[in-house]
Amino acid sequence: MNKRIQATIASVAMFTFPAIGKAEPSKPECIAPAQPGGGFDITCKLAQASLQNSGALKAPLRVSYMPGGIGAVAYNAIVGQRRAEAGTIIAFSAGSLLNIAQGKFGAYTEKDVRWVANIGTDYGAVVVQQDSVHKSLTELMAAIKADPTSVIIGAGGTIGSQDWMKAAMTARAAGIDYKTMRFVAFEGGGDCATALQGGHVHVCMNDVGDSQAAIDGGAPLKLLAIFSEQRLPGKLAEVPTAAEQGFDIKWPIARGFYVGPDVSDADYKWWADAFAMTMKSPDYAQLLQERNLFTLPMTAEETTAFVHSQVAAYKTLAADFGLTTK
Amino acid sequence: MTGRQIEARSGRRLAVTLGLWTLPALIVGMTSTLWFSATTINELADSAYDRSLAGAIRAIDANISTESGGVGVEQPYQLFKFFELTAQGAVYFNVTTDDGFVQIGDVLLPPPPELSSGEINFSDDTYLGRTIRVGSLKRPLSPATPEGTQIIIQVAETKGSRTAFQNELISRAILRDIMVILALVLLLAAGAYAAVKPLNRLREAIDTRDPDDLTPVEVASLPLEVRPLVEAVNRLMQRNVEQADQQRRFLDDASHQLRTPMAIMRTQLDVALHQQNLDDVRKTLLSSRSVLDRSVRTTNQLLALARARTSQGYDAYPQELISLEETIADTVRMLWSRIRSQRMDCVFEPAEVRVVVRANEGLLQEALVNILDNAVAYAPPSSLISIRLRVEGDWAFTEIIDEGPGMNDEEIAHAGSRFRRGSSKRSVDGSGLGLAIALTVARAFGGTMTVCNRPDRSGLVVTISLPVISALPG
Repeated sequence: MNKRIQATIASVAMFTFPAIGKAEPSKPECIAPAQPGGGFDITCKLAQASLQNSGALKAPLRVSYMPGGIGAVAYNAIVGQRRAEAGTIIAFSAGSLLNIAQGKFGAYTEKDVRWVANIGTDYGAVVVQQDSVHKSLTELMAAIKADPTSVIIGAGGTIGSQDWMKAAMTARAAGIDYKTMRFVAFEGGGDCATALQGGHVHVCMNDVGDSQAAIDGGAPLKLLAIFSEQRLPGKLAEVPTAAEQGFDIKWPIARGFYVGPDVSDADYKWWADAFAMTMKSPDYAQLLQERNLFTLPMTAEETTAFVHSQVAAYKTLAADFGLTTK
Repeated sequence: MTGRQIEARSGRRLAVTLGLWTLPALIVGMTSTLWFSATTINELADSAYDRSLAGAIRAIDANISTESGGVGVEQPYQLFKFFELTAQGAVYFNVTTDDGFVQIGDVLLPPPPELSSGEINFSDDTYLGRTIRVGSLKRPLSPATPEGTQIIIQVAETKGSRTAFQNELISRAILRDIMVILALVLLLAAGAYAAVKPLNRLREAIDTRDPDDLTPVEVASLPLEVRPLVEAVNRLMQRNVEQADQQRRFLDDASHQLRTPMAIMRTQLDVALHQQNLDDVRKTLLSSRSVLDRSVRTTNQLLALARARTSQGYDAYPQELISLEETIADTVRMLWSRIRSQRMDCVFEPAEVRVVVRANEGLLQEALVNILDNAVAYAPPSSLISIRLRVEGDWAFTEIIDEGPGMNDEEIAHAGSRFRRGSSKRSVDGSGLGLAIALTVARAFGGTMTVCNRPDRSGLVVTISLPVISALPG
């Protein structure tokens, strides 16, 4: 990030839009708890664009990156040291919730932050190089079954992460012992896509959002399957679902934001209202579609209830795969 | 000479002995050298290969960023590309934090051993069914908080090329050692052949000798180690020559000693045959009888000498523990009438302790009889013969002291030689064998005999010394 440009934009904004809504937090910041280029980055960028577009946020939303453990490092930083930063929202995904369910976020649980909003949903996807020898998910699974070490499976996150979970569920559906899979972990989907282009892994268990963003950006990759109920609309309509290829697995990925536990009710409400207003705006669908995301509008209590129920569901799933849960 | 046979052991070729002694040493030496070489090679190769692993770890370490507050790891694949080219194998990496939040890379790599901060540890392990070498580094995530979250970086490579390199070096070391052994064996064989060659020449030289050629073998050209052996053989031959000489002389002397009285007797018999007067005949025959007595005595002494010599080598005259003073006293008693016939006296002064020696009583008496006989023969009538027994240390000394004329230096020097009669002008019917017998007997029992003149007055001191077995207060 070029800080000078940011600073220039900020000062210009201050002059152009003097602070009207006095509840708007100063120095708004969106933390993407990963390297740039992954799902968290997309989530923050969506908030950046849409909040500004809808006029809910006057000041520009700064996007910063705090990689580490699919959000674990950022979660610990917020709950530990940055508890009351009203201007800071942090991106989360279903992957964060799965890790929380396994206690991988350290001592903290889903009750330790304030869940602001869900702004959309993504789906798990299987990504390979454009000219990969694996032409379908079925072929890929057959190759893994023949020799588990011959296919290097890349994923954002380690054993137990949602990417691993997608691979493990598919492997189990294919009759493969998921423990024999050759598995390489990355900080996020963005890193995995980079390694995939370099040929260092053979397949990434990524998300539709970040993968399609990379493909749209010219990366020579292709989707083998999407873990959705039905085929997705638009250009994604060509990609078959996993269920079509014989692996009845769905993996929607909720994306959203939380704030620190000591953020005041007023500020929390301000963010929730801002997102609610933004998601109702007519341009929002367009912004979602640009990022290959799908609508899942929820805020505040609804989001909190969703998060709690998801964590409970993930705990059951993790136990089913022999992963430790706390 | 003991004549005892040396314990028989089957002879062996020198080359075999040499091989039996040197080969185990060679094998042990080479094995330990090989083991040492292998260990060194493995350590050197490991340290060389580990260096590049350490380099990869440091490179990943340098690309971990924490400025954002998170943990960012730049993908090391570009780095690995070059690394894999040199290592000719697969490379794996794994970056984790000890709080478990961050796990990037080959998360299924075997966990590192207990690490101390900042140190790179290397160990062998297995990953995906292949042997790998893993380097692991642990360091604090933030230098400001050394006790805080630790980050662990592991880089592993398959050991294929490393093992091939090590095996290549080790097999070269083995080849080198085998060549060294072969060279050593060849040199040893050549050396053994060269060393034994003079011995073969020696054997040929001895084989081609005349049977009666007993001159010493030339030793100058022989190896130093063999010289003592050949010199010992030379000495043995020399002793044989001397003994043959002695025996010849003895035969000469003995036959002369026996022929003379026989010639005298023959003459006397002739005289007697021509004498008419029976008294004259009787007188002549009496004189012949004394000559015959002397011959008988000489013959007896020759036999005694032969027995004493024999007893040195054989057990025909068993040695037993005997009391020395009793033996002396018995001998004096035996000779008492002969001593008294010369109106001489004999005094025996025993030791203060009871002396026991190992000897054959008969032979010892024979020796004492001969010495006392000499004293009776050479000392003037009515003189005194003293016998003194004393013990000094482990030796018992029996001194027979007479009041005769003694001996001159030349006679003392040759006392004990056969047929060396005292040159005393008095007509004495000695054969010269007495002292020779005494000396031979004393030597047979581990002792000796010495002769000297009395220091105080005219007279001879003959001393027989024997080793004491026990000396108990009488």
